[in-house]
Amino acid sequence: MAETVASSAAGSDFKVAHPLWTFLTALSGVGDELERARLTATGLPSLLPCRLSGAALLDEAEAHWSLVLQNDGEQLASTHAEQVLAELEPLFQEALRRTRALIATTDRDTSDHLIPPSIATFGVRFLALAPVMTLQHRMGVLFIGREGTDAFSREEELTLSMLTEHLAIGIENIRLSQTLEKRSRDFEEIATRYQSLYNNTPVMMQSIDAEGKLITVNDYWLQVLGYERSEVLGRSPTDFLTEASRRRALEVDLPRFRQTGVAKDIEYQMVKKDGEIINVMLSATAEFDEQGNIAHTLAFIVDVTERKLTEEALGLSEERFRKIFEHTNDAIFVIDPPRDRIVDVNDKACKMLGYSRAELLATPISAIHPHEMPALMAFAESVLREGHGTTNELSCLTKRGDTLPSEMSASIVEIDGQAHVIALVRDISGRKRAEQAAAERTAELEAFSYSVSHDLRAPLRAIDGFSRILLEDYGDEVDAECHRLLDVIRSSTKNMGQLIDDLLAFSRLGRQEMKPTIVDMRGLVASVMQELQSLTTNRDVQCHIGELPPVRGDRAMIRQVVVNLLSNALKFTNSKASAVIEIGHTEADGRGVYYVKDNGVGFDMQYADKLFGVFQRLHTADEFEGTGVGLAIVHRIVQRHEGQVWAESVVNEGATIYFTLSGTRK
Amino acid sequence: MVNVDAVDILLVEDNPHDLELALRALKKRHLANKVVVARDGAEALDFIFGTGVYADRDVTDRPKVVLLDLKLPKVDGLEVLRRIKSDERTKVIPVVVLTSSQEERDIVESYELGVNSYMVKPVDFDQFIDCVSELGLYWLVCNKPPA
Repeated sequence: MAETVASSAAGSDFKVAHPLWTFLTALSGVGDELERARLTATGLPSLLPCRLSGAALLDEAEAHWSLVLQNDGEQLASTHAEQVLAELEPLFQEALRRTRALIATTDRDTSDHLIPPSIATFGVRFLALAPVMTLQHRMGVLFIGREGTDAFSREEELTLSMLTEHLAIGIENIRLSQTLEKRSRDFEEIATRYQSLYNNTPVMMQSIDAEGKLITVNDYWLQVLGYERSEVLGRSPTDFLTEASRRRALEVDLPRFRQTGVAKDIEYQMVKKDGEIINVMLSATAEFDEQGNIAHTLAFIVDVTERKLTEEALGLSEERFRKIFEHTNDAIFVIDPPRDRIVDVNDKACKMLGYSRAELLATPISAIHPHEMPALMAFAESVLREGHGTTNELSCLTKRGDTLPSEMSASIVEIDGQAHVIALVRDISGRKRAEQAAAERTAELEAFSYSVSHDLRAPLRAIDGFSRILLEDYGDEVDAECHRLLDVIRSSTKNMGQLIDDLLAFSRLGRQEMKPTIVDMRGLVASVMQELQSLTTNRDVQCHIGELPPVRGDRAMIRQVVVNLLSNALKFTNSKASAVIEIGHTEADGRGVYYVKDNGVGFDMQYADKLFGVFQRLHTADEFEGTGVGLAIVHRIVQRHEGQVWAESVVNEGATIYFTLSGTRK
Repeated sequence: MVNVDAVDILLVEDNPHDLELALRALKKRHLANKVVVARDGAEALDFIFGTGVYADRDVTDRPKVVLLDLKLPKVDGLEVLRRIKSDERTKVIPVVVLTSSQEERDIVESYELGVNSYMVKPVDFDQFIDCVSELGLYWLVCNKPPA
């Protein structure tokens, strides 16, 4: 029996190796408990013909035990107590292993267990050591010493067992109640802590009951929405949503939540008490009872209004650039050069090439420019080196196989930390068509004037030639009037021949290529004047040539201007006894202006606007000969030099023709 | 069959009036006896190269000068000039372009093809007569061609 108990004790929480320690540990930290245990014990002596002579105590602070034996109120010195305990240890160990009390005596004949000498000195002759234990716990040993000669009777031993049983139960009760108290204190502490966390976490939290009514909300929830707790609890959480959010919550989200017990990152709009709307994101979990009804829920709500605004601002800016990107008139390709891949295109690019966006992103660049890859590679290298560049005409192949003439300008930009090429491709087929049409018109015009040059003159030559033949062969047979009429025919044909020549010269001016050089104006004017004067004999002409700065322009054309202006000056001074012609240079509005001034017949300023038109004449053919093309040619040449020409005149006093050539050097 | 012996001038001219005026000018100087007239470029080439109606002609008997209009039916004057000047047998034949065209490109191209002279027909009859007769005199009398 003793062995059984010992072995079961070894398997329990009770540490047999330090039984006293464990016994005292059971009472450790519990002053009240010890007091109550002592009260229970001190109530016993009246029942027992013995004196309670000892109890165990723990000095908590020193973390070791001391035994106080009471003997007429006299305390043992601690050194003696240690000795007593050391001597009691074997008996204590033995008693712990038992279920009933162990009785020690001073007489070896009456018991196997002897009272230690240190206790015997107090006159103790019999010592009962009763284990204090419940079925689960061994708590210690109750020592009862008896003086005199009477051994413990059978009744006394039973009473002692009852006493230790009560004592154990009492201690156990105290321990249990203490544990409960501690647990409830711990629980309260945890609850308080969680309550504080719940209320102070800067996330809105709410819980609903099985009916979907709010049973708790945290302080932050109230703070954000501006409500008092009493205004909120018992209401439906959907009351605090906007109409649209509420409908979605009731129709979609809540039914699903009741089923799955999970809701994650649902975007809602909540309405504050003051009416302001905030954007939130809600996540929630639910626990279900055995019937599958919602038992507890907890929802977390995060205010994402700021984030939303930022996102919207980003979205707007993105949208703005996307619109520019999509609606520009050029096709835009974003190319990732290392991978030789198109990573983005705009709508125009898709339309231009006839691909869908997805097709285009999967199309290699070589498929779009199959014939010009070497040139394009060279271009790409130069763009990568220079940062930007523009191609000459570049042909693109559309999906349908048509070839489109285009121009590309490209630049390097950094996107996500990586260099990309942005290529703007412009469809120039419209411009090409216009250029071609212009070239065709020019060719037509050339063919026209070519044919005029050939075919218009031949009949004139015939008219003149055969009139002359008529005179030669039959001159003797016709009268003077006939001669006069034939002369009119011949002078008219000559005039028309001149007209054709002038017109052709005029039309050639528009097409003729300019060969600009620096022209020495003074030398040019002097040589033209000399040439013209050699043709006008018997006239008094005074010619003054001023300082004429050189000019940049087409020498032959500028010579034509000078010839025409000086010829006019000579022509219109014909009727004057003494002609004065002045060629000079002045400045007007910061530009160099050349002028040719004469003292001839002049013209009426009200017709000045007709002066430079083709075939416009301000004088009759009887007064002055001419075709009316000379100043038109001057006008066109000056125009081609981006200059201006204008005239001033007083009738019968003379005229001044001014002209500028854009390249005029001051 | 045209008598093709000892031809002095091949006159290539499609316009009958110009042709009549030119012949009149040559007659005045007594240069019209040995003139052969071709009315288009193809006929001129036939004469030069002894083909077509001139198949029996001895092409080594070269005219002393060709007076060539540019605007011609069938084969134009510039093409006739090109064919004459690019053939070893005929390139020594003096060719004078006699035309109404004052177009720079015609002048430039003619000289590039090796024309010997480029004359613009004057509208004035007197000038025209002078021009043609002086041409005839120069090429038939003054000029010394290779043997």
